Amino acid sequence: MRLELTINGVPRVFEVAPEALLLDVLRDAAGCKSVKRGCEAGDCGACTVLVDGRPLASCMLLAGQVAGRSITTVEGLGSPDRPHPLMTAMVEAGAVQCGFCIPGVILSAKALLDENPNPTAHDVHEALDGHLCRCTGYVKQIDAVLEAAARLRAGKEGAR
Amino acid sequence: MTKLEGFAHPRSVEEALALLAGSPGDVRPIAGGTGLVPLADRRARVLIDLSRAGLEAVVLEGETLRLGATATLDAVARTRAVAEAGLDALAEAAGAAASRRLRRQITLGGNLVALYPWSDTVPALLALAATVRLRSADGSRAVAIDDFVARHPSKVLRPGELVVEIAVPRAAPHTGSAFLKFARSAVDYTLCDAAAWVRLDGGAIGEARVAVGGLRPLPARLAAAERMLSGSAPDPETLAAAAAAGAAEAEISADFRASVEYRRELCGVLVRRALETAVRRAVGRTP
Amino acid sequence: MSDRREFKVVGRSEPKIDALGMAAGRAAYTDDIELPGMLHAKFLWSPHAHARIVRIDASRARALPGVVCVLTHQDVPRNIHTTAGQGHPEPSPYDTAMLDAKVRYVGDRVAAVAAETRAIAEQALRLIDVEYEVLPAVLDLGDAMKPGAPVIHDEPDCRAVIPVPYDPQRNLAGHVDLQIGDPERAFAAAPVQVEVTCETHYGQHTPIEPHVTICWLDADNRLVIRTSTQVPFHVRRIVAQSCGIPVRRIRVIKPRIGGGFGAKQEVLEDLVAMLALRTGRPVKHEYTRPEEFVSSRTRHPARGRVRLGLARDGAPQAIDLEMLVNTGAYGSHALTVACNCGSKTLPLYPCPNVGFRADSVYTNLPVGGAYRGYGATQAAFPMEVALDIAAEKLGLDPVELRRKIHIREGQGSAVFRALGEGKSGVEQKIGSCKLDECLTRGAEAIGWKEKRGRDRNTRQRLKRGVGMCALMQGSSIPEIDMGAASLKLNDDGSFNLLVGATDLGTGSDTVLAQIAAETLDVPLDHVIVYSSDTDLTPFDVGAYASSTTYLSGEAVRKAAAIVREQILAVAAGMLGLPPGEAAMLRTADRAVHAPDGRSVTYAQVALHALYDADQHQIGTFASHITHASPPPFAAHFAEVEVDTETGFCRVVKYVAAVDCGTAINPKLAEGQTEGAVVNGIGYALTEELLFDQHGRCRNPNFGHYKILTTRDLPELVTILVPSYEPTGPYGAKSVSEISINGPLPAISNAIYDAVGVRLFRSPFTPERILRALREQAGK
Repeated sequence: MRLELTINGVPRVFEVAPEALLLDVLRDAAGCKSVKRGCEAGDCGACTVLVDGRPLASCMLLAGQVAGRSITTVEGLGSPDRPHPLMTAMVEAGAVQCGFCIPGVILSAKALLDENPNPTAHDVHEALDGHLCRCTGYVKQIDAVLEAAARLRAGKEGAR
Repeated sequence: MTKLEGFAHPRSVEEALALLAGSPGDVRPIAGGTGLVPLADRRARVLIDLSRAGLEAVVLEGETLRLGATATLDAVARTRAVAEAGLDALAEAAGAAASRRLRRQITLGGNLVALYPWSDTVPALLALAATVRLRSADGSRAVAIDDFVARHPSKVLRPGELVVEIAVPRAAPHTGSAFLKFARSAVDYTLCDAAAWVRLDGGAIGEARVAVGGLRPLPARLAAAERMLSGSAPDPETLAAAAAAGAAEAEISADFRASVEYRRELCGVLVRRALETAVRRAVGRTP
Repeated sequence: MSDRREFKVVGRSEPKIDALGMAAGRAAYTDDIELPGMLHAKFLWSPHAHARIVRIDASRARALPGVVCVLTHQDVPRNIHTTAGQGHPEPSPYDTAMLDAKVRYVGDRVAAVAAETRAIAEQALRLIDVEYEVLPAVLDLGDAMKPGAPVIHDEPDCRAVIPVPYDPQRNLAGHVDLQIGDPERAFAAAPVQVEVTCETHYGQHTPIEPHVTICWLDADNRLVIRTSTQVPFHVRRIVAQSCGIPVRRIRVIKPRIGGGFGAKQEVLEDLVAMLALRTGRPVKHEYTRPEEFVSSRTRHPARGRVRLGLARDGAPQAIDLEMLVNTGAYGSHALTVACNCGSKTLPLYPCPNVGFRADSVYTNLPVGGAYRGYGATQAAFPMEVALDIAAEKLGLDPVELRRKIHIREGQGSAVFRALGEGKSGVEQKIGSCKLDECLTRGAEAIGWKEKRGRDRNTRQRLKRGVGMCALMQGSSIPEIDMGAASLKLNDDGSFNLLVGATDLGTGSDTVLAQIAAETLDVPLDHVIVYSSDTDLTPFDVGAYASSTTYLSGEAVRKAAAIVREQILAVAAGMLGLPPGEAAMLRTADRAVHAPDGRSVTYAQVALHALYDADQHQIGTFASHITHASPPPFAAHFAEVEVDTETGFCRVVKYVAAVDCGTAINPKLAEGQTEGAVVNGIGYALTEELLFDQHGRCRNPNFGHYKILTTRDLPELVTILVPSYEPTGPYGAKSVSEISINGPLPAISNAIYDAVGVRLFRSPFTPERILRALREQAGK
């Protein structure tokens, strides 16, 4: 089955099995290793990607469902040379332990900040409730998102 | 292995219905996909992706809140139209399901048609007397939610027919609704949820609807509780007695997570608390 | 000796050296590589709790197009071993074969398939025909040693390889006991007596990355194992043993891994390795989440009874601990978890009369492995609840009781010498202990005085209460475990630090780099760490027993100190100083400074030694074993709110005050504490693996095995109380395990404060709490 997806801004065409999960297409065909396989049941959030800006579990989507849509993974947000403020904040807050859940968390956090640039701690707790983390106890992840939000707001204000 | 060959992405309801009318057994609709994908149900040759067919709008039109079948639970929980319509139980139920991420994928219509024992929105829709609007290539019809649930969606839906909309009457003055969910942790399948709706008439309860879910086999209304409430004063003792009657009546099947006795206790507590909140809201909703 | 030292790199919350790469999604984990021709492996698991395989026929599976190899017990060598990732000779019994003609729990291995795709492999599993003779099963801990119980390990070749009690005919996988003084007589004479029995349950670590392994043969026909493990060197040795190939043919590489918590201190790679050896192709095996829950490893459920005899002022006269531990179908960690129940609880309260007996028994249920806490979790629960009861009987505040009776700096305990891990332990005196300050600061942070007892006698629907506990753990296994480091200087004054020590997300690469950087007087980014590759890095037992900072860290410090001396020697030559005056040189900020003000940078030293004169590689190896296991200490405080109509218990606030010596990296130490606490709260309240009457797990998924999410979080306060452990690198002790042990007793005690009922059986589900409330009301 021919499948067209825009991945991190780049239009791509794949030949995939009709029953392929979006997760497998992203990891294998598209080489986006940041998208992780943790449970294949939509529960852990490690496979989260943005589909037209909406954070969804890529293990719960058949790739064919999202044909033609725009997919964002953390590879599209930044790199170690040019990290997204959410990445920097996660690192500086000590929120990255094993790091396995972090790409998914960053994407959900980005979706939150896109819709609400000034979230409360409660908003952040709620936005991240679909991301299971066993290492950190979440505390520093939440601090990091609030810190990134503040920096992004300041950056925008500085730019005016 | 699977016989799935491909997907269609209709851009309108009409287009979707035409595709479904084509070869009914072969072609299946998919809304969010959270039911279909993990269950690896691959009976279809073609999956009709409904997400682009214009069925996601949530609009308050006069006295009716019209919820498109592919409106996500997240949209239902947060859209202002639902709050404007005064349908607290519905917003609360939609916001209580699963995690925020899953709520952005689960659709109101998809969740209703799959009718899991743990579908949080269904008790709320029962309590709010929703109407399910169905369409096929041949025409349309409406089915009351009680009927849709009791007969089971799979039996009500005719080949080639889709749920396109769920309509809920706007909250009238002197009515109030509430939804409560009990689970082991914040992101969990419900052990018991309760939805209540009351209409006050003078000082008394003119009418009440009470529905529970998560107790299995399916969400259902509690007729004994409703009868006890009708015409009664909305005082704490009456509400507690009605809740107890409802709990005694509720059909509860065994669940490896909790005993029947415990869930019956929960049912009584949650129904009582939902009624208390619904009454408080009804008192507060003046013309 | 001051507890607050001034360091330049140690003690600073340096960002983890690998964090940015992970946050940016760089491919770094086991599954993030593509190998041409890679096969996918799937395992067939037993549907029965206890059965013999009468007949197994894989011919239909082998005939399926795309299937390259199918292995049954008939196709592989029987080299009985233990899967426990422990040092040789292992204290766990040898009772596991790669594949066996018997299955011992639902989820046990039956066969393995390697195929071109995962889907074909899954289909092939369904084509393997197995005829079982179903046997009666032992599904309850208490039934394992009853006369006439089914014998789970009746194979003639199972054995213990060190001289410890082992009696598989009675399903006894491990036993330990000790007696100091005369506990029974002291009990009888004690004015205050308390007896508590607690029960802990099946929980799983749920690392978000499941076990995953890729094996291939390299160009020299050596077997390369790229795997998500905590114990690469034990993997190498035990896979060699199980596959029957020499150690020298194997290389184990640990990439970044997605958490372990002890689940990956287990050697499960042998079957994947055998598929690679037989097919000659790369083979990948990844556990699905349900397989991770049931067929990897779990916590050991246990029943623990504590008896305390105390004087009127609270001084312990007799302490007795009896544990019955469920090790599941195989005995990995059976003995050592049992030993730890005693060794990580009894010394905390010095007492002249101590009794300890623990049995670890086989059952036909999932296999208990190493899980953070490792016996201390199971034993601290009854111990700290018993002390809470004792405090009430004595009319003492529970915090004050702990303050009075806990072990002090300079004190020892006969338990340290008596209890090792399978052998006798090592005598030690406490070199650092700030538990007193932990108690004070923790109590203040939770609001202990104001909140204690406030709601218990009210009639309100939501009642709050506070409870606490005191804890100890250890730092490494003394005289047994070894870690080594190698360090070399590069042209630009940077260093390669090679360690066997295993970073499972804990940040040990960073912590070890900080120790090296501190010793060498360089910034952190001048230490490049490469870890856990059995060909390239020196030996280390791996990440367990809270060893890495205390044990591997000291090996690193030693290596760095030696390299620093080498640098000084070369610098002395460059500066024209006679050898005797080399001692006058000092290092600071990547340079060597002479008393007369001249200096040479490390880069200059490196270029000189690499290219100029007397060319040699400045570098060294260093190894370390520890001679003590200095305990970190902690005081935990929980505030709970109980809904008396539903039994729902919510943790409102949780304070963990921890003395881990010097926190080499405070943010990482906090992170360890926070993660352990949240895991512990989940284990106390919401997590539970449930089994049916056939021994099948009913909830091997995140949907029904509930770990905490962001919306379940209490307000969490972590207080690091510094002390200085003289035997640890820069004063450090461990921090990674201790805090998982607090929530069970602290929450149980808090529930009692709130509503006057005690929960002795975990998890404290709403149903259990409500039932306890009803029973109390009925009295």
